[in-house]
Amino acid sequence: MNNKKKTSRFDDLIDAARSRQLRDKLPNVDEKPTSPTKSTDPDYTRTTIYLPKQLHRQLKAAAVSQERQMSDIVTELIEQWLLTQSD
Amino acid sequence: MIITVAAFKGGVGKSTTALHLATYLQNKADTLLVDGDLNRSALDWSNRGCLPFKVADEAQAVSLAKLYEHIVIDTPAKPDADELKTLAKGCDLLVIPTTPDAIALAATLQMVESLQKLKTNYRILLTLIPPLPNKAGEEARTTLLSAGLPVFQSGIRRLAVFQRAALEGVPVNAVKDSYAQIAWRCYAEAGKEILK
Repeated sequence: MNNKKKTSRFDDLIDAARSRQLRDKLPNVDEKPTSPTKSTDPDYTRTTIYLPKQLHRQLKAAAVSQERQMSDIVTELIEQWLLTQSD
Repeated sequence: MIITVAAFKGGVGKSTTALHLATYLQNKADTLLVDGDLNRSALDWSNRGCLPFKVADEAQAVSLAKLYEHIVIDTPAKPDADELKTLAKGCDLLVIPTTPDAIALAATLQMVESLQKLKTNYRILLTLIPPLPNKAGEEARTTLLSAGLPVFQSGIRRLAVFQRAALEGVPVNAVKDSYAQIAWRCYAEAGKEILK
């Protein structure tokens, strides 16, 4: 190896790898505060229900327009219904 | 992440370690294995068969480095002081493979000593651990831990399937052998410890 100036033949490699990591530092910052999802929350369970296609479509459209999750809407409805059952 | 695999002694599974850690990391993100060993054993390995990640020598790697998330650097046996210094300072983790015998352990302790001035993040990986009832692996681990040195919880067992993998030019998890998964798990566990 004819590395007279450089201290070792790995210098350039480390420089290149390091500069790449530094470039990545910034976008990494805003990765952390992601909201927890129900799919990873142990307090939630996933279930399957059958809805008439038309009703599903309406629910979906309403959820999107209100920027709410279908899960939350359905949860709210079921909670209300359960209350009516208790008396 | 930049990981360097280095040891003062040859034949301790340096290239095998670099290659399998690269295999593990490639499952997470694009990984480049730099064959810094002048024997070019990793390049040989990849030329014989096919590896699931990119392999380059240290000169080619300079322009490739920016394309890869993880970089694993295999080094020559007994790297010279300047090389070791560059690598030790430049990497996120230095992995020191060592076999559980007196000669390799002595070389490892010698290496650790020369790293102490550099404030390197390093961890020792026990390799070529003979099967029970031989206790060499456990004894070596105890020795290293009682010396206060960082050691991987996972150790690499001495299994013939690693040689078959080298011969076929693939990582050990691609070999059709009943021990392939056992051998692979050794490195997968070590990889998990690195990313933890």
